[in-house]
Amino acid sequence: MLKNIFLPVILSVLAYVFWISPNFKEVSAGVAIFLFGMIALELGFKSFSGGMLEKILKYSTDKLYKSILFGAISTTIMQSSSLVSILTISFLGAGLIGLAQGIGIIFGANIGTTTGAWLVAGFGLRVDIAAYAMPMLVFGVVLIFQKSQTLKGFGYILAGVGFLFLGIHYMKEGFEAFKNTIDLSTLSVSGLKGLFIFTGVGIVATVVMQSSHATLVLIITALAAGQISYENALALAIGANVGTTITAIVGAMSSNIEGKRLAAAHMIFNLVTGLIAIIFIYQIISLVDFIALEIGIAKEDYTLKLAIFHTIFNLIGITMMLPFINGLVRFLERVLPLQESEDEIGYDSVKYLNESVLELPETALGAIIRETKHLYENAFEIIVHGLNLRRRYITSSMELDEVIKKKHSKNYINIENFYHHKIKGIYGDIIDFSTRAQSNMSPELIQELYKIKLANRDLVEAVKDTKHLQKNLIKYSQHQNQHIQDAYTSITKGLAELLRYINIISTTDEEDVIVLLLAKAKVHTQKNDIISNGMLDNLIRKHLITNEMATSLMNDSSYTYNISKNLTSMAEVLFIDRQSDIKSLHEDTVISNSDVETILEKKDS
Amino acid sequence: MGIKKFIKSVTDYLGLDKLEEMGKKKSLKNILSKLKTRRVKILNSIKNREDESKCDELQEELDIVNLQLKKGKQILNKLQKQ
Repeated sequence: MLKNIFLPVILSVLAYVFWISPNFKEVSAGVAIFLFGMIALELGFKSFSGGMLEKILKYSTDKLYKSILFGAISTTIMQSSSLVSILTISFLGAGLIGLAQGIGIIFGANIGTTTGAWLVAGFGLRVDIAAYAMPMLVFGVVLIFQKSQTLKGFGYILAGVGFLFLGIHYMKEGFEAFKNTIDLSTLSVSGLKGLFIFTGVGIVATVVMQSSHATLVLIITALAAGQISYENALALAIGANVGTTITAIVGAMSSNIEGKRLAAAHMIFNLVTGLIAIIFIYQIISLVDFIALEIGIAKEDYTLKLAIFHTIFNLIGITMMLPFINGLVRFLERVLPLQESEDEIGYDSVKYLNESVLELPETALGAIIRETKHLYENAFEIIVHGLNLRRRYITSSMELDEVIKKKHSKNYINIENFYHHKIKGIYGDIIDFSTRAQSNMSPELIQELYKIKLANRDLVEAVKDTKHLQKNLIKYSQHQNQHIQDAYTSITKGLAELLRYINIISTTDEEDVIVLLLAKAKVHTQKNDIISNGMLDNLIRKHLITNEMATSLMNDSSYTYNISKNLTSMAEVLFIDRQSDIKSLHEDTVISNSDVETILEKKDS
Repeated sequence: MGIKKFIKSVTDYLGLDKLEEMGKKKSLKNILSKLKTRRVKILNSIKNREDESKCDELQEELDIVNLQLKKGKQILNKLQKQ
């Protein structure tokens, strides 16, 4: 109800104020154009985020100092800490970077955002920027209408900067005109009271405009026109810094727990920094005066002094918070814990797929790969337990004969139940997410995504085949006919060996080990196939098993062969880093079926 | 000149397209040297008969390594010719 009347009331109030004050209308139009410019700029950068931006982010965040540097530089270039925050949340949500690196980027973004104040105070107010804005807008719009995505992206960036300049121009003009009619500076409040009131105003203004940058530009232009006092402008700047965290919080709503933790870190950092700035405001003002004097800024040049203040209080905040980043990560992990499964087996759900990464093709693909690895973990567990083996022995170096003797439990697990709890939902979500992410991807990425989808299908098929195999495994593993019992023990041992290879492939970084084990897995798939190795023929010919047993064994050998084949194909796609050179080389060096036969023939001879 | 054509001519001029191949060559050489080390280790194990029961397994691994080395060298030659 309140929501329904809020917008019409706001619009009516604005219309009335515009009618009685043309100057206010001009300032508001300036803010609106400025915000529109930011939207255009974000659109422009997003059109490039399909590769370059994400690649840079991925390789620039492995160390904390690099994360901070990246945050500072990217925000300086894009002039939007919000866009950087949202991208960081997306990356974190997709599991491509850790929380500590994410916090580093946010800290850096806080430094980067201070460059906006310098640009406006040092350049925007001294030059007639509207003169630059016009051609930028014209060129920008012409480029936006082009078919090429790259040109379109450049067009949005150019038009975005043009609108930013135009917005600043209108704000400046509006405040200049205001000076001749109303003197807003008479409303200034001095002392601590004024400090808190204007900090609050800064917060509200930033929350409404969803941009601390726009608030800061508004403050600087008002300050330049003498409509607000220097002290009140400082308080407004502090408020803008606190208010900007709202954007990150809104962005984190659709993200997973890691994204929410980052938004919380952002809020804590900006609140603490704001609090420090309020407590030590007079000391910081003295420091600003000292620095201004040292670098030759005039005593009355309050706009540049505001830029110095903005930079200093962000730097102080980062210096103070930096030693506590790991503590902050631990605190957030404790306060915002991962949600545990509720029932006995636990319905597992997706960990890395969230809506915020859908528009970023590289990140989306990264998230899908991570999620497939999550699906693999579950499938591995189900297959191992489905064979009534213990995971920790498979992943150890224990002799395989010993491994298959150590049963997981007295009774075999219900694979169907586990499939519904730990596979089906995740698999469905991966396919659904992939289909939606695909619409923003290049043909090359779609090709890679197709392979990942096949790897998912391989995993699901492997689990289903284990379910079919399990029926006779239960029936014959304790059978009085020693021959059929041995045949099923051999099947279990072969699969245990393959699972061991796959586990090593999934955990090692050694490329030669991966290449070798993938080849070994292929050889073993063929070698352990009881139809091709003659074991089944031998059992039938010598009448060691009944016809019913022979049929079961024949079907189960097919399931076993498919499990091995599917798991090996999945590992080939999933566990070789897609960015590495070895990925493309592997496709050339992959062992073919005829190679496998040659190796096995050599062995037999 | 289209933007794609322009980018291609710049990368051709600066020789940037060769960077990818150089990276591949380096990775391949690295793997080949690791496989060679492994080959020597397997041969020593077979020669010393450290573990009789594993002799079969080692021989199979040796065959795979030999095959990988052969394929790897072929690809390396192809890359070097380019």
